[in-house]
Amino acid sequence: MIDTAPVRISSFFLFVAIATQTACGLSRLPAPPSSEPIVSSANTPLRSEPARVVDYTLKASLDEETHTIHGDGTIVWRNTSSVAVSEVWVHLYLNAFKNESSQFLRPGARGRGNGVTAPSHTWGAIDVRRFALREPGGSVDLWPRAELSRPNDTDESDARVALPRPVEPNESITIDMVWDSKLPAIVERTGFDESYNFAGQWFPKLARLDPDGTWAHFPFFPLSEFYADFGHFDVTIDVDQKATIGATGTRVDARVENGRRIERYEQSHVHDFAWVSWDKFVATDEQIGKVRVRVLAPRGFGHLVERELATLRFALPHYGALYGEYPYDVLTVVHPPPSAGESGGMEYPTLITTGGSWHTPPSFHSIEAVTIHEFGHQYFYGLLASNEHKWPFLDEGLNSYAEGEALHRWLGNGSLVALGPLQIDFASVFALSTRTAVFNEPVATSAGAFQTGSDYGTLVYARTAAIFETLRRVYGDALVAAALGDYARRFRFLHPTPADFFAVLSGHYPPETIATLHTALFEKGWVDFAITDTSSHKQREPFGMFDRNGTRVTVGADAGLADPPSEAHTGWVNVVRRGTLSFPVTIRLTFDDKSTQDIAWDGRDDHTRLAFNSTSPLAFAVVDPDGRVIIDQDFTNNRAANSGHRGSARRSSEALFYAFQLALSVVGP
Amino acid sequence: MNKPFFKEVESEGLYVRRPMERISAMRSVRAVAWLWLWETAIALAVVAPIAVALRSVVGATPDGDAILWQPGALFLGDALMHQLAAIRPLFTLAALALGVNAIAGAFPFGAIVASLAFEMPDGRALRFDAAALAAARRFGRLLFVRLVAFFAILVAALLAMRAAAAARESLESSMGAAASDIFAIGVMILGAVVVSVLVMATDIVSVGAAVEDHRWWTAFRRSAVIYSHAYRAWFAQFAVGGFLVALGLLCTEHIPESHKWGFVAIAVIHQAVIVARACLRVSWLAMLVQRF
Repeated sequence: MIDTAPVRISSFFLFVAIATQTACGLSRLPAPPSSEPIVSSANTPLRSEPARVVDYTLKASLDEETHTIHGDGTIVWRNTSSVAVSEVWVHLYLNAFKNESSQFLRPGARGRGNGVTAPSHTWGAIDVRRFALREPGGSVDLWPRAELSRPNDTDESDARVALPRPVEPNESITIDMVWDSKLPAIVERTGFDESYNFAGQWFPKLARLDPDGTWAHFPFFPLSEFYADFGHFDVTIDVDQKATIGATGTRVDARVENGRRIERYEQSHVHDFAWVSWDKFVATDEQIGKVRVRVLAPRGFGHLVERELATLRFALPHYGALYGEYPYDVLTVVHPPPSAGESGGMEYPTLITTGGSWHTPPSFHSIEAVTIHEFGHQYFYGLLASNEHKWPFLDEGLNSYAEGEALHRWLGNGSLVALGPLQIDFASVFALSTRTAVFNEPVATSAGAFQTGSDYGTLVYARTAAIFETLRRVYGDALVAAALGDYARRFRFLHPTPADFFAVLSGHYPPETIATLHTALFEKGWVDFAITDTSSHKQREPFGMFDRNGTRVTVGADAGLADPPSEAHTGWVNVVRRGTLSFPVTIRLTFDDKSTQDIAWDGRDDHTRLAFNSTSPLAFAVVDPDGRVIIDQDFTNNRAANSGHRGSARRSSEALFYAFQLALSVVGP
Repeated sequence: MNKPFFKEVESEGLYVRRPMERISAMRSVRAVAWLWLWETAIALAVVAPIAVALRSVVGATPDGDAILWQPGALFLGDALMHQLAAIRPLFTLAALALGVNAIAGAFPFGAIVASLAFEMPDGRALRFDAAALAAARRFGRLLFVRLVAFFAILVAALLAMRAAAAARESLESSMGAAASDIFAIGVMILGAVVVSVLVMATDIVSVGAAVEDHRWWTAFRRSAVIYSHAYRAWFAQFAVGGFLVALGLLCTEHIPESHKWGFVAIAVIHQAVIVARACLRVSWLAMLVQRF
């Protein structure tokens, strides 16, 4: 249901609200949810744990002077494919920041724009010293034979390591590692800024082996994220004792020795591990349901921490109801300092990073949005561990839809901005921002293949969200909640593909809707409804000369006959559907006497002429008056006025006039 | 503009200096009218094309411009996207209007001060044409004051911003982002106080330049004396002006806008606020005129 009640126009309320909130820093907490969360109708049981494929036992000692992590540890990996494998692929993603020959930093790399994400002070790298396979006869260091790059490419973020013998299906191997990770100056998802160190992609990480024995490996691209197998992490972190540590998983041991803080974290059923240390963090802990939430933020950010916690108080039960209960005991939220903002807005299992300046006004819900977005990734990435490189719409896209849906349910139509009469919904921004990009590339494109970062962001995030928001508005909340809930439950702790996703959706939507969805995601699908013509006239018998019973009779005004006294009117409205997507829509007719008539159209044909009968002349016709097809390319052509009718702009004009007069009275003469 | 004609008409007694006791906003309705007319004319020039553009966007909508303010802002965003090309020149127009106001505003300012300071020889209020003549005669010197004031305010604002940025940068690592930002805001507030003092001083000097006839530079000397007495009145009219805006907002919030008479009532209240603010400003200028 879309709330379309008009609101008051009072332009100065905007000014007063901004000024008051900004000046006073009022910390208005978002209102509680307006209604109970939609409970997904999917009854699919939740998988309690994933197949255990790879276990990491790691130790990380941070040299604060050089921002280098000295690491050692063990990987136990099991071949879960159906074939024997004779190599492993290791992601060394810190090498993306080693030099400008990497896929990430090389000039002209897609998504890098003008190189704004290049490390500004120092480079980063990961140097593996030892990568030894344990064998009955002793360890064999495989690293000397490792291929760090391909013959035709100098990128060193994706290494191939040949095994001395094939590893049979279901056989496990153990690898001992020693390595050094030099953090770059903060760059997107990882790095350091003064004493702040964020360690993401900091250890040699095995790529995922698909069931057919193919390694899903890829270099670190600017637009690409990650893909890995589930397993158990046991990580001991050693930093300066003044620092506070935040990490994936549960802290199982903590001590201070010789001026060093040593903490051990464990987490099962996850596919990555990140951690952060900073000597200026202020920690805030809260139990939300079964989850122990810890927020780490700079001093003076307490009011933002409260906003982030309020968001999670809503999000944890809401996402739990829709997509299944959050399965972990802990969630760590890191709010980076402003100078390290590039590490904000990122997700790792049980650890997310947010962001935003301390003076973000409460009416601008960017803090809530980034928090709920990154939390949503615990589902669409964490639990539904799709290949983020190959199918980014499955994680970022569906997560953006879930974000918009949750924020709308929580904060209403002002889910992005709620400033007096100006109520901006996330869904509106998502939909409007994609109108040009939709013709550039399909949404379902792999991250590395997008031509620009703008296309990637617009299509993967916003377009996917807008497409599913259209489904929600057109076919109802319950259906999309059931479909996504079913998908989230069936593929929890698995690695779903688009085929899996569509298979689930096919159980909830009719084939024509599935076809539309496929076109929208894979074929640059678009739609534009428009009213091209209208007609309205009194109902009366036809004028002219008629031969009746052997006599010619003239009927009409020129024959001296007046229009019949009846007030009955009739007419038609011509509606067209341009583009490749079809949705059912409503055409709302408004008549002179203010009465309205809604006519449904299935929207399958390219156009239709809808006839009507009424007691008053037609004044206006509007197709999709509530904006349910939010991805409509142009709403201005959705409306038509019959001759002699004009909608009024006097209220907005008067408000603008008054605002400008006031501005002049402030500045002069 | 120091043409002999204006000297002659003034010296021939077209208007004379008004006695001190009769210098007030209440007795100078024409001064208020000058101010209101000027603000209205400029606002009309800017808003009229915007209103036409708006009407073309919402003309086919039963509820008219109410669609733009529907919660969610889908239709507002859609209209902005489709009218962006048409809207851009309107921003230029608005900026141009503000520029015109800054320069040509010296003319109505001169007319307002003349309406306060002078009257017809027979004691009647200064006629519009006589006020216009007086304003035209003083236009050059008033414009000069405005330009000097503009650059002084610009320099003060830039210095304040630069000082705030430097303070923020140097303090961030030791005090944290929030505390250093607050410190920087404090510096900016100080800068705003300096700017407001300059704005007030501009009014004083401008009135002096308009009243003191050819020896307008004496205004500088007298400004220093006047300034020490005027700041309370200036801040008072500033604060009351703000209060009037808030009051107008409160009054209009509860009027049903969709009703025809509701719209009329809102428009009337808005204009009442504008006129009341004009009275305040004229009253402030009258106080200055009394001092010269």
